[in-house]
Amino acid sequence: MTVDILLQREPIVLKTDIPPEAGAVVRFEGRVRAAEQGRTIHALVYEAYQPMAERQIEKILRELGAQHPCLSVRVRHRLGEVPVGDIAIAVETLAAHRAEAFALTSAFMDRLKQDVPIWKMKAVDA
Amino acid sequence: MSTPAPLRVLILGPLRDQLGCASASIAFPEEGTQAAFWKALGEKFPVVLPKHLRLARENEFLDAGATLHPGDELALIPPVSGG
Repeated sequence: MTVDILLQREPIVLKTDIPPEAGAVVRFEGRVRAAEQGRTIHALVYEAYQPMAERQIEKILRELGAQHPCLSVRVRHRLGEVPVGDIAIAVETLAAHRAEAFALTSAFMDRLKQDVPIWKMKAVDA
Repeated sequence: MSTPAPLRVLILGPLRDQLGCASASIAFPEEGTQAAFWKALGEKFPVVLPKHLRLARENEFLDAGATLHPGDELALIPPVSGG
């Protein structure tokens, strides 16, 4: 399984050439919502402990790839100020069949929210 | 006998603002245990530390039983909130 990880300050744009072996493409986009803990906001500010975040994302993907064999996974996470409506995280999983791609993508998001040192540092009010 | 090199601690995420610094030096606790580290940290920062802080070394979370070594660079990881 190939893994491609990037933590970036620029807006996330994922364009992937889909190989003919991929019968399933699962894309998850987590976007910044307008409401955060009852407040209307303009943006969220994200920060990462970057070397460890990248290391942990790769480690988690390798573990999950052993359980749910997929062809490739690409992960992008935005850092800095991310306006409402923008993509904060994108995960794109290619597999031969949909079950593995859904399972890996879903499990990865659960693990990201437990074990990857990235934080929402503050909400910027609207 | 020479004094063991202190632990260098990176303070990350929201905890940095709470403690008011991005790093700290903590005298190496004689036992080299994580329990002794948490006690020393509490003495250095006499504030209510958030629950569920975790320690990492070389970009990996420390197992519960892992021992510390003089001069270790540790990362203090508050609960994460990415995605």
